[in-house]
Amino acid sequence: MRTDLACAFVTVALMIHGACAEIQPPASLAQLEAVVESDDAQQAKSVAEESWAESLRYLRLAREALGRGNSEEADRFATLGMLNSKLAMTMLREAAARRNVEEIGERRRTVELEWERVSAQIVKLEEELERARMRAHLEGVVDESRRRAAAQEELREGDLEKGKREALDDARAQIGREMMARARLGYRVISSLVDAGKMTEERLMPILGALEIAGERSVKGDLAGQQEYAERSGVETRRLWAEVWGDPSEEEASRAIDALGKALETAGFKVGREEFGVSIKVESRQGRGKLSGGAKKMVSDLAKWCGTRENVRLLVIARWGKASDTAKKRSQARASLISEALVKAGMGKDVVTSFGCGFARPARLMDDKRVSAAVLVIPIPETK
Amino acid sequence: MKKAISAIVIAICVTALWASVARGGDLLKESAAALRRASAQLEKIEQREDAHVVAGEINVAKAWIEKGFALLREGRRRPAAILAERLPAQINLIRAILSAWAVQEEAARVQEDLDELERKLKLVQSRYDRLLLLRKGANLTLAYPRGEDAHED
Repeated sequence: MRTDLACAFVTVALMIHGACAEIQPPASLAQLEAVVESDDAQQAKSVAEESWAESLRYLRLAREALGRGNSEEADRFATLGMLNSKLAMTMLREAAARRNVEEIGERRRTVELEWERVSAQIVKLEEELERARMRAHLEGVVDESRRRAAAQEELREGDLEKGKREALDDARAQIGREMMARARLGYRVISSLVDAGKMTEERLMPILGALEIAGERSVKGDLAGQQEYAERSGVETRRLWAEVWGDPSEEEASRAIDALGKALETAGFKVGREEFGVSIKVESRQGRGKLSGGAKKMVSDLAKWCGTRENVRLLVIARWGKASDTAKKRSQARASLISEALVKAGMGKDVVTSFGCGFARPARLMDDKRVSAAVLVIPIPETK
Repeated sequence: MKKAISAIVIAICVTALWASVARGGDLLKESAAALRRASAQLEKIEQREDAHVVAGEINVAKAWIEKGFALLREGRRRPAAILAERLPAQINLIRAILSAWAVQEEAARVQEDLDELERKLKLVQSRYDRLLLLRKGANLTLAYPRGEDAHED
């Protein structure tokens, strides 16, 4: 009898314990229910149909197991349901990321189209401006009558009289020379930036190529072709100039030139504003192999002034007055003399270069026929 | 008659016992196979360059595998089977996370490209504005008069 009572007690105790255990749902089930009722549930359902259906199936199975009082089984199903719901949510995230990639791609295409459109407009504007600059330059250095002669006679050069033919050739030669000198000066300026390590030498190739073709056209007597390629070289020069300054608007470069001119003026130099820097006249020479006293002082002062600055390059420009080899040699010797004097006065050899421009006057300061030599001080951007 | 019934009952019991033992054996084999399969799959995933992204989930799976084998060694087939049962879903989850991560990375890369392009566009536009401004003040004719222009005067 006692044994029976004890057995009945144990059985009842176990039943009570079982009943208590039944009403405790596992944490995994609560988590799964929370996920199923979350805001993302509908989206997850549409993106990851299969995984989501599996989650719901396991949720049902877990609830049924809990209903049977089998908490362990409920936990088993709820955990599997959670894994499937996590999978669905991950797929939802992936789908969102894919949409994002597509949207960004669309925006990228729009920006690319705009970039191409503006770039094409820029090329057109650059060409127009270079043409205007070239015209302004030629107006400054070639007589109107010659420019007109070169153009008018072009139309009927086949039946020209001998005298007119010579005048035409002379006018064309002068225009061509001035155009080439201006383009070559631009090339020298960019070369000095290459020397300063601001860009690689390969970048000079488009300028050189255009200059070469312009030269060939000149030999063939094709002035229009020569102009076209001299302008192309000019366009490329301006582009590289802007690029070196890291400012496509060129405003920073323009401000730097203004500041440089102002600083040099304050230091007592008489300067002229040029496209790529400021020019300072070098007085005529005193005798063969010598600089005048004024030129010596200017060169010495300039070297002293520039010597304390890292961000300038000097280009000595020399022109000769007569079409003879002797004049050319003298002019080149003079350019070397000025360069050497600058180096002697303390400028680095790599900072000074010289440029012989024949009869042409590529710098504004040289619009004055009496100026046969000048130093172009070119500002270069500071290394960032 | 009684003997026959006893024999049948005994036969049924023996069959049930045999089936139970056999099922237990199958469960053990299946669980062990599932654990080994999952372990091999995880090893492959761990060799991927982007495995660090799912390090946490890999650790969870590894812990389950380890515990599963331990349970099998103790002869606790049922809990081991429960753990083994979860592993395919966990590995699917790991793969899905990696796939989503790859797309998110691509999105970040494309966004970077776009930012760079937008920066370039801004620069190009500033050059364009500057050139437009310069053109306003420029006399845009030929560098020297030619053709029709030459006869204007």
